[in-house]
Amino acid sequence: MNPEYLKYIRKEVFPTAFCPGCGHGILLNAFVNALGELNFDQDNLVVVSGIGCGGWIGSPHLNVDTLHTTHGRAIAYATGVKKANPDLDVVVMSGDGDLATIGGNHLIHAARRRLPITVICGNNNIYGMTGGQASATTPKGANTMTTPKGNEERPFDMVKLVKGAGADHVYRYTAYHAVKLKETIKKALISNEFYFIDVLTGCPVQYGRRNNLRDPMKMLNWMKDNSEFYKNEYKEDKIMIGEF
Amino acid sequence: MSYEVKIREDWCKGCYLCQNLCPKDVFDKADEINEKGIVIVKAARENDCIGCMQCANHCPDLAISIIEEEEKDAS
Ligand SMILES: Cc1ncc(C[n+]2csc(CCOP(=O)(O)OP(=O)(O)O)c2C)c(N)n1
Ligand code: SF4
Ligand code: SF4
Repeated sequence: MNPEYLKYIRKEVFPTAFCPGCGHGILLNAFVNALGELNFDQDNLVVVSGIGCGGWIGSPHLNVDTLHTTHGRAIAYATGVKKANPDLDVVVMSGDGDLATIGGNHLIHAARRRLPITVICGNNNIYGMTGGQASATTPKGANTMTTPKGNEERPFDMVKLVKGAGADHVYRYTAYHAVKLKETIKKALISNEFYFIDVLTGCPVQYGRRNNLRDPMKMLNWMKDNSEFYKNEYKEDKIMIGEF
Repeated sequence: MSYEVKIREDWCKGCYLCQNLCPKDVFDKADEINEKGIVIVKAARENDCIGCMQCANHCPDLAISIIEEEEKDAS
């Protein structure tokens, strides 16, 4: 991290509360880099999160106004913040359990309304904080605490869900693609339109240990080997990344 | 061009992503366990660093800074 960008974090709470190698930390890294490279006005930025490890990416780590809300309701609070003071830059950053599962309703309506905020989903395909239960983005066949014989349900594809609900600016990257991710966060931060970024962060501890991806580098390599940039064709057997 | 590979030792949790990602094999594991019980990393071959930022951009704890140094006078 560029030492000049450390003004965007609350140094006294570091290191993070995340497990070693947690992809949420890589998303945090990309977000701080984006703020630093834009020399972003930290007094005008509100980062809202819900509950879960994903809810901790912004709060307490970022040295901006952070709002740590109830489970699944981050977008509802963010809507209020933006409506009350439209001049503020509002970002929601939280987990897949929070944004896609418990709070999925708020997400689709924010997309339908094209609410002028940025929503970043730290999507690790699991409820990490509570011990690894399946979420709405857990892949079919994946082992979790609640699907010990493999997940029988099909997951939400966050990109398709949010696009289908009406959003114009929809992206996906993984923790491996930290630089591309940073560039996309910069685009979202300077725009006053609805942006959604699905970020596959990877939870080496609760997801990884049950799915042969316990080592953080193995998790990143899995993301690298299984992803492909979206051009014209959306391949179902790949992690499609880029702009949609 | 030469680089200082600065590691905030009290922030490193020993995930070793930097060591695995570095194309120049700059990092080694430290020789001892620290007071938190963690074997952190050390920049054992700092002179080999090419400043690609792979380590700094992927550190989940923001513990690595790559600082460009003035070209050392050859004479
Ligand atoms: C209303 C309510 N229901 C359930 C919980 C328990 N709970 C805490 S964190 C969490 C899951 C969070 O999952 P996710 O958003 O995917 O974040 P992760 O920990 O995986 O990053 C749950 C169910 C809660 N705190 N409040
Ligand atoms: S449980 Fe998973 S998501 Fe939570 S901090 Fe640990 S690795 Fe990260
Ligand atoms: S900047 Fe690149 S070459 Fe230098 S230590 Fe980091 S990963 Fe290695």
